[in-house]
Formats: sequence, structure tokens, C-alpha cells
Amino acid sequence: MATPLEFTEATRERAAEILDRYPDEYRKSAVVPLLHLAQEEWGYVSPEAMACVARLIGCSPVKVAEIATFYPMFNREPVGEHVLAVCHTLPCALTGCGSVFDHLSEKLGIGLGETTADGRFTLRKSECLAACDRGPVLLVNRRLHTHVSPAKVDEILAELDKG
Amino acid sequence: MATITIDEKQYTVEEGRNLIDAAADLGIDIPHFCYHPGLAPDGNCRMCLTEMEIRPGQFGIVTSCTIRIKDGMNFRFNSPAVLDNRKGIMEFLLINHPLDCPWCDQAGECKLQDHSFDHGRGHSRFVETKRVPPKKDLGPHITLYTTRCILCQRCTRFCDEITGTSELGVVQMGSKSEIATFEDVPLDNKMSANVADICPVGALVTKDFLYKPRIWHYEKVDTVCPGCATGCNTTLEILHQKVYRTKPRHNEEVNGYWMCDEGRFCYHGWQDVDRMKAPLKRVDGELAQATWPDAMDAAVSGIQAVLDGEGDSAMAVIGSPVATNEENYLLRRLGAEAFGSPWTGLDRKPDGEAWTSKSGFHIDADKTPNTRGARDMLGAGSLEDILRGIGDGSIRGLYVLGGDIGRTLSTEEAEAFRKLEFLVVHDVHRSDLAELADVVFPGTIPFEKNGTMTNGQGRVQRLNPAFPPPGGAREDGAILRYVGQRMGVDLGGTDPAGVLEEIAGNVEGYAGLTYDLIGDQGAMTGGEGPSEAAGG
Repeated sequence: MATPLEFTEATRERAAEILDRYPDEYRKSAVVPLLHLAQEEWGYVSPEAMACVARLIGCSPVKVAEIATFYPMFNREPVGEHVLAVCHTLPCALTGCGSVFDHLSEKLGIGLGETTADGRFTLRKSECLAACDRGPVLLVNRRLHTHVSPAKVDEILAELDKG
Repeated sequence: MATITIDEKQYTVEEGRNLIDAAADLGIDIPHFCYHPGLAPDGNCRMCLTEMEIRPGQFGIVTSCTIRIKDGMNFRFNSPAVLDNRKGIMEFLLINHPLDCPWCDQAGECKLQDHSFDHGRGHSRFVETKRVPPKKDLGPHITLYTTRCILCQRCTRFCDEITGTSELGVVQMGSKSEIATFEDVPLDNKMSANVADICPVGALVTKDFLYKPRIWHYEKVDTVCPGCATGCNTTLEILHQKVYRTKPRHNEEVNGYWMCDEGRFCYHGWQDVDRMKAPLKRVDGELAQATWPDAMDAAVSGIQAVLDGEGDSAMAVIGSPVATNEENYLLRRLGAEAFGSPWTGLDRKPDGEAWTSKSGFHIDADKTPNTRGARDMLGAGSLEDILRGIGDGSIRGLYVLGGDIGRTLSTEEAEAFRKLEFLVVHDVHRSDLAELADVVFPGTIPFEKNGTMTNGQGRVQRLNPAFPPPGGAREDGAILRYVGQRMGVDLGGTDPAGVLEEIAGNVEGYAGLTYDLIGDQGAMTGGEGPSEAAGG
């Protein structure tokens, strides 16, 4: 493994605040919020970041890896500035997520799991995002867009371009 | 005690006991994968599902491993719902399983195979492509055949609960879930190979036992590990007079369900050593092979010459912490009765590393199995006393029970032994001790011994011989008797149970001990000795 990672001073303070919410014997419960913090700090959760979290909560690093690899919202590779995730479960598939994905892919010039050369967009597929009555749905970073169509994709991208 | 109902029949079982164990006590086998009596119940494999009356007249499906017996509980083990559930679980577990029994090392001792045969539906409805994740090298002793794993998590829980080292986890989600180590932290702890024993399928295997003959070919012999003073109970698996595998044998008072890796694999050291297969005697300054009668003549006349020389009690004996109680006891009798000697010493190997696991499993610093028993048999004499006796000339001849392959002589020991007029040694290979001897008798390694040893706790345990000694090597007890006989002393019969009877009559703390009482779980000596060792 590469050199150990450590949080910056400011993040360490926020980590301490999070850890304070849990009794000492349940420090391990802070694993998810601390992984979010790690992702904020480094953009993705590398093994070194998992080891850093493990040291903070006092457990074996593989126990952090169990959590970090279970939840898809933790990026384990570097990602672009905006992560676009098209739901591809059945209700969204029936309402046309295929054309949404294809449109995004064509427009951005990247395939599944890829990031644009300028580092702005990463394209993904997602499992159910719990809005089946409003499909197809697209998750942009932390914001959910419903009833998405190729036309609406253009609007969303334009908005992101404006920043 | 509690009265419970199983399939409309009443049984009395221990209250608070886990249902799987309680049923096992009654001779009823509830199929299961993730539950192991040495680990906390987890309830993840769903194989032990049975029906329990949760309200009058209404039954619900429960996991047997998490049910604690209470009076009045009512179960159904064989209802259509239970049998159907098992079939369903088996079908799920086999979805990604490669069904590679013909070349899997677990075949014949595989729970997946057994339960599939007994409870499975015989064919799968899964028509999609199976996942084929590659096998992984988890650590120095263990390989994971990822495809075969059913994720029961016995291994991860072992590393969490027993060793406390937590090297293993389940990573990824859903059908991609896998047992894994983290980056550069391998499964490398003092008890790592136990995970292969408790793996109910062929996923975790020891590299040591990979591609060895099929398990049904082996003869199994229950004995005690010679690796340290803990004295873990073991079962050796033997084929063509060779040990192929050592497995821990359950003894709650000593080792639980476990053993350490060093003890498990120590059989290589013992059986790879270049064994001495004929006696040796010194001719013109060189050790040369001799026949048993020749070597015996040389030994007896050499000893007699020392005894006939100047001074009293010029012969001493040194017992061995890798020899049985019976062998050490016979040695003491030989010393006292044939040599008329008050000198007894006991070899002591330098201490190794002691270690205690999170669960209390103890590896002793004393890397010999019977220091306590040998000391009990021989009395308090130490090796240092003997060396001093040689130094000041009061000891001129020595009879040593050797046989510890890991033992090398220190410079001062070698120097002292060189001063002796006559040295007789029992050994298993040409050790540096044997090289100094005038006569060497080829004896036995612990796996060939029949007798008892006393572990650090003071528990007397039985060793059963796995195979006879090779070539002209003989049981050490028989050699001692032969020497006694030649010197006019009758050391009694050859049966170790008879010698133990004699020990029970003569050695403090051993009163009342018999072979039957010791059985396969051992029995405590009466007095708690000052030994620093403790099992666990």
C-alpha cells in the first residue's frame, strides 16, 4: 500500500465531532459518516483512506473495506466533478432509461464507468433509487432528477455547464 | 432442565442450550453451515431453519442456531415447510458454486456435499452464467477458492472472536460478495490454519493439505500435540506410515476446538528428520552401526565399568520432556535400581514465545509437551545439577533419554558431556548429543509413542501410536526394560497402562489415575503443581 493518508487539520476536527456522537464502545458506528468525510476530502475512498478511517475508529481496515465496498455511493476510483448515475432497474428500463443513458454517453463521449477527459463528468448506471413512479430517474451528484428524457438531459447538462 | 416437543415427541434437554446443540445431544442432526459450537451464533446461512410454535397452534420459521431452549418449546423439524425451505436454501447456495467436487480437496468431508445429498433438490433451475471469481492467496497457510465459498463467515468470525486479529471480512455487495483480506494485511496469525478446519465447504484450504490423497484413505489416530506444554488434543491422519494432516480434537479444558499453526505443522519437522534405524556404538573413536545385542553389550559393560570405578553413584540419568511419563518413570527406576544412583536430571529446552489469544487459547513458552510430567516422574533434579556433578567429577557416566529434534547442545553442555567416561543416549537422529555418545539407541518420536504426558495445567493425557518406529528403532520403554534386564533389574511388563498403574501407586499427585479414567479427554493430577503454564 502507498504512504498512509491523514486528514487535514480541519477535517480531523470534523471527524472528532462525528466521533463524539457515539459512545466509546460504539466508535465503529461512525464508519459511514467518516467515509463520507474521506470522500469529501480526497474525492474517492482509496484503500489508504479506508486505513485512515480504520485508525480513527480503532478497528481492522478490512472492516472499513466491508462497508466502503458495500455502498455504491462510495467511489473507490477517482471520479469527475459531476457523477451522473442512470437508474437501470426494471421500472426505469420500461420508461426509457436506455435512451437517456445512450444520449448521455453520446453527448459526453464516454462509456459506462468512464470519466470525460476534462475531468468534469463520470457516467454510471445505478440500482433502484426508490422513485419508480417517476422514472426514468437520473442522479446528479446528490440531486435526483425524475421523468428524465434526452431533452431534459440537455437542460441538466446546460445547467451544470453554467456551474 | 427443560421439556420440549420435537415433531410431537417430548424430550428433556438442558435449559438455555442452543437448539442445534440440544438436538445433537438427542442424536438429531439439524443441518447447518454458519453455526459452529466454538463461535457465537450468527444465523446467516439459513440452513438450520425449523418451525417453532410462536403462538398457540401457530408455527413460524426460526433459525435453530439462535434459539435458546426454554421449557415448553414446541418444534417441527420435518414439516413440509421446513423441508421445502432447506431445498430452497440449498438451491440458492449452489447458484454460483462450481460443483467441482471431483477435484475439490474438501470432498468427503464437505457439509455442502452432505447436505446437498440429504436435503437438496438434485437439480438447479439457475440457467444464467455462474460467477467465477479467481482463487486468492490469503496468507502463508491459507488459499481461498472463492467460487466454492457460501459466505457463512465462520472464518471472519474466528478471526474476530478467537484470535482477535480481524484480518478477514466480506467485501462487495450481493452476488459479488467475497471473503477478502485488506490490501497488504494477509491472514497471518498464530492460529490461521483453523479457518480451513471450520470452513464447511472447500473454500478455505491449507496449502499444506492441498492436492493430498482423498480424506477417506487416512487412518485417524487421536493423540496430543508435541509442540508445547499446552498439549492440544489432536487427531493425526495417516497413510503409509506418514502423517498427512493434524487436526485439533475438541477438549474444552485444553484447546477448545483449536490448535496453533506451529503445532499443526510441526509433524513435518518430526517426520522429515533423518531417522536413525539401527543402534550405534563407538569403535576406535568413531560411531558405527551395531546390532542390538552388540550395542546392548557395549552399553551394559560401559555402565558396569563406571559403577565399578571409584566413588559412589557415578552414573546419572537425564529424562526427557518429549518422552512419556511412563518412559521417564522407567528411566528413574533404572537409575535408582540398576545404577543405584540418586542423580536424576531433566532436560530443559530454552523457552520460546508464549502467546494467548483473545479467547484465551494459550501457546506455552515451554516448547516441549511433557516437562511437567517428566519432572513429576523424575523428582526435582535439574540439568544444571548434573552438569555440576560432571564438572566436579562425581558423575562419570550418563544415561540420557534424548529424542527432541529441535534441541541442540550449548557449548558448556557439550564440554561437560565430553568429560564423561561413558555416555548412553536414546535419540531419533544423529543429533549433536548422539555424536558425543558411546552407545546410541534409536528410539521413537512422539507420534510413535504409546503412553501419557502431563501438560502445563497438570492434565494427564494419552498419546496413541500412529505407526511403529522405523527399521530397527524401538520403543524407548522397551529399550529401558532391556537394559534393566541385562543389569538384573526387572522393570515390569511392556503395557503402558500397567506402568501408569505403578505410577499411580508411587508418584505423588497421580494416585487414582488409570488409562480408563484418562480416556480421550485427559484427567487432572491431584496436586496443582507450581507450573507457570496454563491451557485455555
